[in-house]
Amino acid sequence: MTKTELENCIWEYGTDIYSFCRNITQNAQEADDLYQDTFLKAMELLSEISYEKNPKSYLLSIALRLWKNKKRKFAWRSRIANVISITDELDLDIVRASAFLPESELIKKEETDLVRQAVNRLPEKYKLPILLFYMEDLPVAQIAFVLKIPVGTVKSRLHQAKKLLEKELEVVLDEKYG
Amino acid sequence: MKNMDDILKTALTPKDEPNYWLNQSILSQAKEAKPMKKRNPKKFATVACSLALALGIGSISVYAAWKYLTPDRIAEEIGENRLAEAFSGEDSVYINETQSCGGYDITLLGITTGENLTTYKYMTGDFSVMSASEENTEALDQANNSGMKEHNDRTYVMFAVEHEGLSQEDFYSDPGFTAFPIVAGYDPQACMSILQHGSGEQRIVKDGSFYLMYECDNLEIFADNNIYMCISDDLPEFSEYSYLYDADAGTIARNEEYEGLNALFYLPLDASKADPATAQAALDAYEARLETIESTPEPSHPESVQKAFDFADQITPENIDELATPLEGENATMTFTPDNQGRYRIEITDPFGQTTSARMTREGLFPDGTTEQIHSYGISNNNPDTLLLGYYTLNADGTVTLQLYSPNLPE
Repeated sequence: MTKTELENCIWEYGTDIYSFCRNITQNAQEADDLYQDTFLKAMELLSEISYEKNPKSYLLSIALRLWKNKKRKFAWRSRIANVISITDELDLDIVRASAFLPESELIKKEETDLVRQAVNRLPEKYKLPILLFYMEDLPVAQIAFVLKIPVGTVKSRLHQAKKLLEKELEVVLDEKYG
Repeated sequence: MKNMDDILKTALTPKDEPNYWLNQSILSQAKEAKPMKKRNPKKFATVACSLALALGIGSISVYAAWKYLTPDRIAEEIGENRLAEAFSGEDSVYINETQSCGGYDITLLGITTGENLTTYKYMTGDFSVMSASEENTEALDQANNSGMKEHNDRTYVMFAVEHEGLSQEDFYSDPGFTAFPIVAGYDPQACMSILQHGSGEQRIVKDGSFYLMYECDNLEIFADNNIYMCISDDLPEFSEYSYLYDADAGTIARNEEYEGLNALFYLPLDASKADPATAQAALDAYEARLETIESTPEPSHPESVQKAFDFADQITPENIDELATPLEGENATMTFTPDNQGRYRIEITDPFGQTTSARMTREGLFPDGTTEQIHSYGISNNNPDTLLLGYYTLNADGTVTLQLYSPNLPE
């Protein structure tokens, strides 16, 4: 991939990659850093990334790897110093945004928020396949590539994740919207 | 209950957009990275669709606009067919990026660069600029013979402009803003001096839309740096109040505090066309010109003008009513309110039809903590009778009142 193609990736997939970063970090500042680091790392790896062969999967896998590394470093630092945990701003943003919506939109937004919160509460091994499948629209084979796990494992985790979500959301959504 | 697949798909559709400047920061770092082994032969063709993303940042919003004429059509409307062809060619970049600030929507539509693309020639000497139609050979020959330099290799940047209060007449005569390029890594004043010297603008209104074409010497020679186009209504156009320039890092950003127009567009020019030697020569020429200016003594005023200035210098708030006469009429007394940065936009139209504009800080208007101050304004056509005085008073509520006076010059 050339630098120009990478620039095009920023415009073409920026929202997809940023949304993924926002959801796995749950923090605007962390998301910004991760998003930027993802593209800067991708620049170092330009020769490995093919523009024709779905660069989005590569970018998502870079973002995920960087985030896992960062989390590991953060966990290590937490052990040696009393580091304040990362603030969860995502829910706060949702509350702020809701104040300006008409009622019908508010109901839709409430449903969306409930689903997003339920997804965020999932264990990471279930949350990531769900985000990659429903948010990033990746086929199962590419999810397997991003997560570095077999296709069969992706399928079973997606299945398990949906079961967990159905269980968690059934009561809330049935109660609210019949 | 709805189908879980639908619920998840709807709820998880990507909605979080990266900040515009976050992307610009990545792109600027991408430009600083080592050159690639191969270049994209399509150049920037796909950049055109790039900014279809709706990106919000602070007081400015950036989004794509498709309602305007394309740059080649605007060039046709201006009557520049060679330019229209160039804008249709592969070397052009279509951008379609709108920035909204200060009540304006400014859309950067496209850029192209080339030699002899318009029917107008720009000629510059060290301290003079002239433009003439290529058919006006007499004027061009005269300029050539006087040692002026022809500027044929030019960059053309096409904008659309929208502002609720901007009339067609004002747009043609004085739109109240200035377009100018800035190259990161260069001192902004040097940039403006190098690139504005011999730059030009054409404005056209078509189907109710206002278009501005800015042109200057080839910007691609600087393309190994980040290049920006600014459109500003600040006075001076590039100040710390409207743009944030970090000399050490060589970075430029909009000052989000500024309430007026301070658009800043990144120009995606082809770095492979950079010509550092020519760029350096332009900088050297600028510095030589600066030295010449600094070493040239100020022209002396005619005696009558100097006497008028000397008389004005002795006028103070205490004696102004004895030595000067207050003007009357709608423009003779004005009150100015500070903007959010504490500056006052002073605009004076004198009885002779001359308009003077400036943005002044309180310290600039009232040095040394005073609350009353006299400022004198220039003399037109060496006529001492055109000298005007401004009597400024700082009011308790922070507003400033100006009363214009005419000095009672001795016979």
